[in-house]
Amino acid sequence: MTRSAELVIIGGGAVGSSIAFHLAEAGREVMVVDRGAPGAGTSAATAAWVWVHTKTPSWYAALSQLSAELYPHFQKRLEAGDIEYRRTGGLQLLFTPEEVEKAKRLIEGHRKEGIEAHLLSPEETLAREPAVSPRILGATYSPLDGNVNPFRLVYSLAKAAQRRGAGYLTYAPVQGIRRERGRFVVETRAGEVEGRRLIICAGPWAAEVGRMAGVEIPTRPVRGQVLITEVLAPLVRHTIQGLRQTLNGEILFGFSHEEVGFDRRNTPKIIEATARFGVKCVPALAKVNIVRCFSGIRAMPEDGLPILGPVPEVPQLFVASMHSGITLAPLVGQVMTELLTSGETSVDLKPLSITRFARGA
Amino acid sequence: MNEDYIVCRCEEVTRDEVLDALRDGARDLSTVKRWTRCGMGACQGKTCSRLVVNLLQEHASRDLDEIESVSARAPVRPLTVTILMGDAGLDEEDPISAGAATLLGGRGEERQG
Repeated sequence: MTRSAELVIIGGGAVGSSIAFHLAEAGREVMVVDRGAPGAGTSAATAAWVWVHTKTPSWYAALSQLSAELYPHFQKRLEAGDIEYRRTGGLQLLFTPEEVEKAKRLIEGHRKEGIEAHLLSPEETLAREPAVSPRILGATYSPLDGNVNPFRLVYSLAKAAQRRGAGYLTYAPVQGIRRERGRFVVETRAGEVEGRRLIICAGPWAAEVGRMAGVEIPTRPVRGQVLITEVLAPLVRHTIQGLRQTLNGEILFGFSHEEVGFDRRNTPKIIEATARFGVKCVPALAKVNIVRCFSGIRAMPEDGLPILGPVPEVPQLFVASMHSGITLAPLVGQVMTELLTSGETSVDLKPLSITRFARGA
Repeated sequence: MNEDYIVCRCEEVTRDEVLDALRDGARDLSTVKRWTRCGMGACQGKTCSRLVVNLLQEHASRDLDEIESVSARAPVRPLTVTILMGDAGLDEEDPISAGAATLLGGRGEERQG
């Protein structure tokens, strides 16, 4: 049996499900194809910061701010109870004079874009967040940052999209994509899906899926390892770059990036380095129990910036590929829906176009 | 008679909650875990995994032999951060930042979070 929809989305994670939700809300016929259940790939293997203030260049931080500001309303529209979005404020701890100098330049650049960020002294930082190490030389702080429960986010998004009529074909890894009479036919292990327009939201698998559709998407998989503590009484209030506490009390920390393909193992070297990183930031962690490590395979576009919008050389093909899918999910869902329904977007997509990678032929 | 019972003691997840997840389309242990927190607590699924496997077999028509186990992760039992730190001091070169700088072609400061 071939299923059919006007719009077919490959990937039902935070990005793909947000686009599906917005499109379904706009009354469009949409079908999502996922290799597992929504959240089985990248979207749930994350500490899930909704992060703005250390991003560069500043226009990218501004884009992240737009999305972060959509979150409270987004949460309400999902009608799914609490997805645990909290605007906790964000801290980046600074340990060396070089880091302090770099932070000054960051804040100056952000001020020009109207992004609120402050340089805090060690005393000011400790007054805000008493658990951090007194050895810091300062911190950058912004009230814009926060975090969310990624499991609830993706589950609620997929549910909300389905309530509005979106179809989901799950446990359906894509095996091939062909064109028939101008339409896309997506071949999956669970059958075929055809549609007039195709949107690739395949996270770290974007390059692989892109090649099936005839486009080179320069996104690579990057591994991030995270440690999870036992449930603790509230210890850290802010989302700290590399460390945050969930509402139910676990602390997730880790800030590693490795290029090892799709290998999701944890390694002793990074576990040790992450443990040291945690104690360096929050000394009280030394005595805390770790119950689990995990690895997330994240998507990393070649220049670190999102790839969003149409693929000019393949008519009716679209891409949404980015590293910070959790932060950007609300905005990307909205903007892609504007693009796919009216063709006009509230955000200039030119700097995010895949055409920026065009190699001189 | 109410047949509900606790499947995951650590996170207090009931059978009915697991069955809800199966009705929502979960067909593997990891998805049940993500949707219900079953197996996410202190014992990391040592108690509940078998019960969930049974429910997957009974209610999601999964073949017992084909149900993938949840990926085992270190540490097998809870260990303190101090033990996991190894012997290196806090000021030793940090492979996390060093690694990131190389991976992103020297643009480690631009990691996007």
